[in-house]
Amino acid sequence: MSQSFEPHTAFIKLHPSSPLFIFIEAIVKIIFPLVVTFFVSGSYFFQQGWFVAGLALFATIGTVVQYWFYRYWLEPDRIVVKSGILFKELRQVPYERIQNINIKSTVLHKLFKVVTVQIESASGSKPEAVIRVVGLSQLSDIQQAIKNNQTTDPSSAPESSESEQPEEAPLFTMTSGDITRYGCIHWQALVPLAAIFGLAMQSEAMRDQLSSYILSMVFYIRNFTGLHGKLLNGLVLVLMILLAAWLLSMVIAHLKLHGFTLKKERGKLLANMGLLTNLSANIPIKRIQLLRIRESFMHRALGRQTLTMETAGGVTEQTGIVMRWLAPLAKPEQLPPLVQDIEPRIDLNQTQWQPLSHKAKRRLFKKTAAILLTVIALPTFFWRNECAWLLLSAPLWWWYASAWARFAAFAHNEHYVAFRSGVLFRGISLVKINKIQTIHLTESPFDRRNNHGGLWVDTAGSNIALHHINIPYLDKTQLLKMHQQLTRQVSHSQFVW
Amino acid sequence: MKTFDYSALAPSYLSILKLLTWIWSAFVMVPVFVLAYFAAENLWYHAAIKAVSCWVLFGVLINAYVKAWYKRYQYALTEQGLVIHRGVFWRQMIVIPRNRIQHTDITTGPLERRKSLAKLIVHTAGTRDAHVTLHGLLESRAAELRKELIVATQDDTV
Repeated sequence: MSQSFEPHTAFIKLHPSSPLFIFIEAIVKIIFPLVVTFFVSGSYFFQQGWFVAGLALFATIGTVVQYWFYRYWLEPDRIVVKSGILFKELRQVPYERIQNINIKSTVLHKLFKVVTVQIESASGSKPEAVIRVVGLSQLSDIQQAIKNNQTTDPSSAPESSESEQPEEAPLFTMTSGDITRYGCIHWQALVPLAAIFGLAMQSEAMRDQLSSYILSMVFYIRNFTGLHGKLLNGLVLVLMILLAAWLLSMVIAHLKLHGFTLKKERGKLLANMGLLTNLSANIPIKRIQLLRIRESFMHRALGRQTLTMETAGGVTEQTGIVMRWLAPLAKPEQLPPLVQDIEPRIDLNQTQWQPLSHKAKRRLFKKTAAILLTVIALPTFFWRNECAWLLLSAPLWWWYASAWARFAAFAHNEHYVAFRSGVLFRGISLVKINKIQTIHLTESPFDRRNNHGGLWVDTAGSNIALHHINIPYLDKTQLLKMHQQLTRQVSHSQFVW
Repeated sequence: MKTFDYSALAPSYLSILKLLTWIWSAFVMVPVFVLAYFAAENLWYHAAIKAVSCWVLFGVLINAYVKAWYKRYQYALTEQGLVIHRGVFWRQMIVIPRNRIQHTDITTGPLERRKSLAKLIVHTAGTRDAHVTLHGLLESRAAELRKELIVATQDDTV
């Protein structure tokens, strides 16, 4: 072990501008939450100047030390990262195990001509290595080393050779109209707005300040509108805030997704996007575990869909740079060819969707009714009898159950399993047979009464909060047949991460 | 390739489960006793009678559930993989194909060791099923299963 602590090749230190980037990262991750805590609770410690100064000093020393002791080097078959002073860590990541390489470059990065590189493998919820930051020539060295090793991997050959694209021809590009539509649908500016509002509500002084500010705004608006009544002018204010958030969301979308392109190169997907902060991701196609198409009611109104993917490895937005998009927003007719370019065996146009049990509508209605009746009964008994008026929404429940049952369907053939469902927020998930890990049959007491059952499959790196293959309300005979077939298929297919 | 039909867990595992049920339900009764003590105007024997009767009732119910759970829990090894049936009200059948098993662990606790029991943990690359535990196996059966599952002829290219 002691031997391997020494580099076989000359080690590479981080770029001299690194402490700055590490410091910024520390500010965002450690100091910002602390400052927020200060505003919320008005902690005693923060009123002492020495505490803040000490914290800043500690962070500065920490970043310099981190920079000083962080080095990496490229061996013929692996990248080795050495870091830490008291607790030393030596991490060796074989090139062929690398799942994704994400490269981030903000305006500050561009100024120093450097990038942040994040390397992910299939394991853990954190990236294997975040190299913060290196010069562009070091980046191309890393990329070249990974490229040379992964192309010799024989298992990637059969899949990639089937539909080799000429280089430089992108599979998908996003028009600026679509980026604007994306901002329109996603309301991303509402998140920070809600966070600021929530934060202000925590402390009494800020709450008073905010409410007096809002009130003054309402009066200010009254001068313009000439309307009387606080409520009416308040409504105008809310509409104005929403409009501003909406416009801001579009700007954010442009900053984030500007020039989104997806290319295919030697069995890998290369995605590139961003105006001020440029993010480029490199994902081997064979590492894709699940494909997901999303379509909310807003998407439908604008005639667009979103295509995302899941890869093995559980890096989340909290732990690193995440790239899940294949097409942030595209016309529905653009997606089947795109999916087929990525996975030649998945042809969405030829997918034979099969309906769930004919009792699905009734069962979903009963379930919805049981839940909502309880929800309505509680305030009716304990608070006000008027809450019972909510029962008038019952036709809506029926409409929901009908709409759900009409759209919900599954597909199963020799190459993949697919499931679609949803009413306001629709989702379609596709999983190739060789990416299935385990198969579950489920049966609730209600399923037993109706001779039904459900089926779900587990994949690597899946996010259960999002739409996935979880098919309910299937007739038992159909279910058992499908299960038997699926088990046989999975056990005869080889899993490649 | 070795296979075997559906088998139940080792009977001695049921007695361990029952014992554990009585122990943890006794812990649950501590706050019940405290509440009852104040409700019964600090008469400790009233509180004790209430807590003990609650414990017995609760214990009997949980034990009935545990017994039903044990009765329904079955596992089999087929050519395709390990199949587990479990659940009393909400039932599940899990299939872990042989070629999806990454590795297996056998662990035993102090109580299990006394009855020569072990539990087998099967690890997959999945997310919710990153590890599937098969409790209450006889040590010999656990070892046999592990040996059988580990020789899966997978040519993994992670």
